[in-house]
Amino acid sequence: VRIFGQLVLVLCGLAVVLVAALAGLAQLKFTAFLAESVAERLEIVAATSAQDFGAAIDLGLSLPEVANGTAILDRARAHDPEIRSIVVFDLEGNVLHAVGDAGGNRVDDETLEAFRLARSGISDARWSTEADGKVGSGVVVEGSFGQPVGGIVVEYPTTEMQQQAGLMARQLALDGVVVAAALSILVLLMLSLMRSRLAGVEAS
Amino acid sequence: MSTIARIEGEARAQDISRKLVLWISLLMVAGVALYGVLMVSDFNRSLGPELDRRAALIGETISNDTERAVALGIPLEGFVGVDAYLGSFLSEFPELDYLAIRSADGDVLYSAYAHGVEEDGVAESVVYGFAIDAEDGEVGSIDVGVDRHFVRSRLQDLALDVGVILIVALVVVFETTLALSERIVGRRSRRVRHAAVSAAQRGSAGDIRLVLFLFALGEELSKSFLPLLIQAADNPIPGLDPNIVISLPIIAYLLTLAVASPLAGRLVDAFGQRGLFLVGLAFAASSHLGMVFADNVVQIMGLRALTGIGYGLATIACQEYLLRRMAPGRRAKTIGVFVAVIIGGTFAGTALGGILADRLGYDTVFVISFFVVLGSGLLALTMMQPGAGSGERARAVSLRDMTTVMRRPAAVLLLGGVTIPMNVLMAAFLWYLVPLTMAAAGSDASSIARTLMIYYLVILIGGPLVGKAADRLHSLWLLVGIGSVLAGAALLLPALLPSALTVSIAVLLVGVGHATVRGPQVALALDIADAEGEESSRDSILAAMRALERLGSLLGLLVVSLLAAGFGLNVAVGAIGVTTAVAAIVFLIARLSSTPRWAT
Repeated sequence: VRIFGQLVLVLCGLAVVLVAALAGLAQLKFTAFLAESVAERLEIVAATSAQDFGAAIDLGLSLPEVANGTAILDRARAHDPEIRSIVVFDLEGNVLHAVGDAGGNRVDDETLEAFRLARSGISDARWSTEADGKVGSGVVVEGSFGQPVGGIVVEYPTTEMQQQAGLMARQLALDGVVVAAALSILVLLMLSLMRSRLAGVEAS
Repeated sequence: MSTIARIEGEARAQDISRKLVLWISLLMVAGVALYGVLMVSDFNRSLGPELDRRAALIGETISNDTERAVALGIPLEGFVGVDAYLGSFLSEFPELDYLAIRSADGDVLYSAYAHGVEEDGVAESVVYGFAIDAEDGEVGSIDVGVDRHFVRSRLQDLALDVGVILIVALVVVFETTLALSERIVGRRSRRVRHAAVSAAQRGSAGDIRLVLFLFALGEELSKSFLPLLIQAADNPIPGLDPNIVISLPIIAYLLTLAVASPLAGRLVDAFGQRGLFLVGLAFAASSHLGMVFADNVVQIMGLRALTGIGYGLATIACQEYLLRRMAPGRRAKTIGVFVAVIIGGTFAGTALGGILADRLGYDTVFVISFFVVLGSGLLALTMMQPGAGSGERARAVSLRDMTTVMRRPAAVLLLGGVTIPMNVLMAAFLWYLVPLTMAAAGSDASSIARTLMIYYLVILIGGPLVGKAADRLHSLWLLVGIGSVLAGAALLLPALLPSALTVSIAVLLVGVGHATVRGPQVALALDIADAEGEESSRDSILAAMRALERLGSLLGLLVVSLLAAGFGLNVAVGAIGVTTAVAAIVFLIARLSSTPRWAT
């Protein structure tokens, strides 16, 4: 009886572990997928804005001189009201144009470091960062001769992504409970059948 | 109860166990399939809003650019370079099936299709529409066609991982059910046979099956990424080529394993098998914990040396447990159970380790290894009986055994032609070169793990099949030689065309070759021993074979790392392949040109 109990416990436990492992994998995949998807989208927003600034630079203006800079950024932000801020900055990290909650006159150190790697060609001309409850996607703004003149970073709050991840986790857990419970019941039935058959063998 | 009735009862009980394993395995597969269906539906629902936003961004961006051009006086029909423009979106957003710009009448003016999508195949797409407005109203529209099955297609790599987890779960179901069924059957049989039996003599294969399985699983979690971890670690040894440095921790592991294994047999009397297992476990667990904090190659070498000691002590303790407590005359079956459990655990550990490393990082995998190994210790305390038992003992190798074996040409031919080259191939190719070659080809840890998993899966499934086939064959030497040639020749594929695919194919063929060689080479060795007519010859030759193959692996790995350092990974892979195949061909030719007494 004790070993039968152990077998029930171990196999039901295994069903739970199996489903939990699948749920864990799915959750990790979901968060990675969502983060990647949002970052790609924000990069496009940044790249589209960079194109507009690039057109002004081609006309001979410097980045701080683009008079409708805020209007360009406002139009870009209209793509997604959840965007926390869009910031245009110079090579030193000083904020030149901004919409939303830009949070100061200089971009943060993470953004500046990612920008430095991007403009020196160490990484791609685009970048993504994540820190302090926000994700940031940026691009290098190039001058008429392809030289870097500044950067644009689009920041997005992680709260919404966390909420979505939380909802997904609950849904996956709920599915998992249903499947694990069904598996456990069926395992129990099979083991009961085996036990009665073994008893029959012993009796004969 | 008569003996016949008892044997019939045991057979029926084992038949019930086998059916139970089958049904529970099917149940697990059905459970995973059901969960997979629910999961895809959850993904579609949860990612829907984000995919909508991406489609909106594309549509609005194209719409804005188009409106700007129209505002500058360019008619919608007169745009140039639209294909390249739309193509840039298609390459940026993999979910897109197609993009189209329509006139106000709805005629398609420009369109671009994703690679592999035909014009008439877009009926399956989810289409988002966006207006192109000008001063005098709407002048056209944009179609953004999104692949309806995009989320499902992006879950393919997840499906591979789920497949691996499912296979591992089935192996675990198999081991668990068999372990506990063996305990049930074993206890019932013993109850019938012996009213009173001493504690030291009690026991069944079920007592160590889960313990050993879990221990091997925990031990092997790092196998797929260990060379990559060493490669990334600081190297405080100046002037040593990185390829040699990477091999050092693996050599340290093999060296301590080779030393600890023969010693373990002698320590059983002092500690008992359970005690010795726990001692080995202490070494292994501390090494896994240490790996979390190790950041240079020397530290990793020291810790892997500890792992080798732990693995040697713990596995030999389990082997001794089986040998000393099983019925006399069941040695071959007992060793078979032991090897199958180790391979099962190694398979599961290797496969899971890669997935965990990719998702959670190397350090977390070592923490998990630590707890899994500790878990096997807790199981050992519950399931393994104390004491040392009184049955057969494994033979510890001595220098005399080695010299006895080396004096026999047939044994030397087998060792030099097949056994040692195949072990070098396993240690140097599978544990060292596969991770490095695949990582160089851009594979991640889970892909490397899946590839290594193929080898163990083939051994797990193919081993028993080859065993059955070998029983019917009268030319074991031919089987062994051909298997070895196959394994060696397979390596030429990744050596000449290095890629993740060719490495995977080579691993599969190496698995087939190894499955062909493993069992029959032991049978051949025993035949060589029997030809001498001494009872002790069998143990001597097997013990010496084990020791020499470990020594060979160690030296072979060192030579291969030197080759990799001097000529690159591909040359090293090719060199192992050619050496193994040539050695096997020499073995076959030598066997064909002679008619020794040990022929089978």
